[in-house]
Amino acid sequence: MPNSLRLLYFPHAARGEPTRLMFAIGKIPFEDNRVTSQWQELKPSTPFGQLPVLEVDGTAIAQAGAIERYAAKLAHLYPLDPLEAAQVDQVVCFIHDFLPPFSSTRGISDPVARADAQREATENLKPKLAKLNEMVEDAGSNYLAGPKLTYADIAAFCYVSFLLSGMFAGEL
Amino acid sequence: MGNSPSALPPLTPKPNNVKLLYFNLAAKGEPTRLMLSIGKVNFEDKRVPFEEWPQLKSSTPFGQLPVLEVDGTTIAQAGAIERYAAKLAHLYPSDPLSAAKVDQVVCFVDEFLPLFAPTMGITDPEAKANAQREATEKLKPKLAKLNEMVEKAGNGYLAGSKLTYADIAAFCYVCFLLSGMFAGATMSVLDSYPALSNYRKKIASLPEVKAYYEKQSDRDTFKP
Repeated sequence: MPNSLRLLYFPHAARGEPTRLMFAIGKIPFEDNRVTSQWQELKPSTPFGQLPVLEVDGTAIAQAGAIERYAAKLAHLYPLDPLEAAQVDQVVCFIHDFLPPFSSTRGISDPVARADAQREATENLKPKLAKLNEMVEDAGSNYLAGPKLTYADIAAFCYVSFLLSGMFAGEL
Repeated sequence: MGNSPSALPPLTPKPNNVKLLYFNLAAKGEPTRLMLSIGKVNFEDKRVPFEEWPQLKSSTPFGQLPVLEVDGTTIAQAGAIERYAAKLAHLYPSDPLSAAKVDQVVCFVDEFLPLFAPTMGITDPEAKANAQREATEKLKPKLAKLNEMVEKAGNGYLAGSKLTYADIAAFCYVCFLLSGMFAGATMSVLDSYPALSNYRKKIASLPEVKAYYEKQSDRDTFKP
């Protein structure tokens, strides 16, 4: 277990939330640094000019997927067995596809065009939610990747809750 | 109390039956093929002809390839399959922090292929070539970043002191995208990124990689 953990991300849920929640579940103390006005200053010092970044005893890890999987391991939400882990990873890969059509709308400056793009993204999300619904049904009394709560469930829960939080135009 | 939370359980047996289903293309199948080969894992490398795909599609977990069948269990999603293959091949660290360093490189190179994927569905050849040339321009800053990552990597490997899944993913995706399949995207693009160009040659020259590609066709850019 590391001595110090510092997560840098914006205040919203998006790509920071699964990590925050997994640390909380694992009762792992961490500094939840919510970056606002300091971002432009901070950006060049990040590995890929993006957030989130997780500082682990001074070492910076970038890329949401890498950070999430690391947090999952510390919180015992990621199986040791490679095949079981693959079943978690496949759900996570699928869920990670949900966000990009929405994040790409943030760069649209015209508010009408942005709302239209978000509505389109919402329409395109529906078949993915239908698929996720089917996966939940198929899981029966199990969680998404086996009999216990894993990173797969946390990713699904966080990304769905975030996308449907009302931040993006579109009816579901 | 010494074991890290994600150490491979001791004596993880190699699976008996492994079958990879993917198209006859490098793209999202290649890192897995190469890693299973490096790990000396016997596997059936099923190349699904495009004409057979519509029939097969609905039987796959997400209507996509690749899919990996392991002793009766089906795994979908390239990233999940690759990481599993990497573990079998001892190309993925058991220490969570070292693994995160591998994962972060993989997440980054996973951005490369999607630049070109939308161009595959364009039927008009001129529009397709234009879209691919545009994708190549978008790839260049990412190659510049990867070049910088190679320069900063003291040991010559992208994540740590040994060959890992990070190197295999970077190598395969770069060699595939610059194979000449996409307009504007050829090996000469690497002339602007000398460290990356040398790195590609170095990985291609590793005995286990070289031996694999000696037996493959349509993989010229994967050879030294």
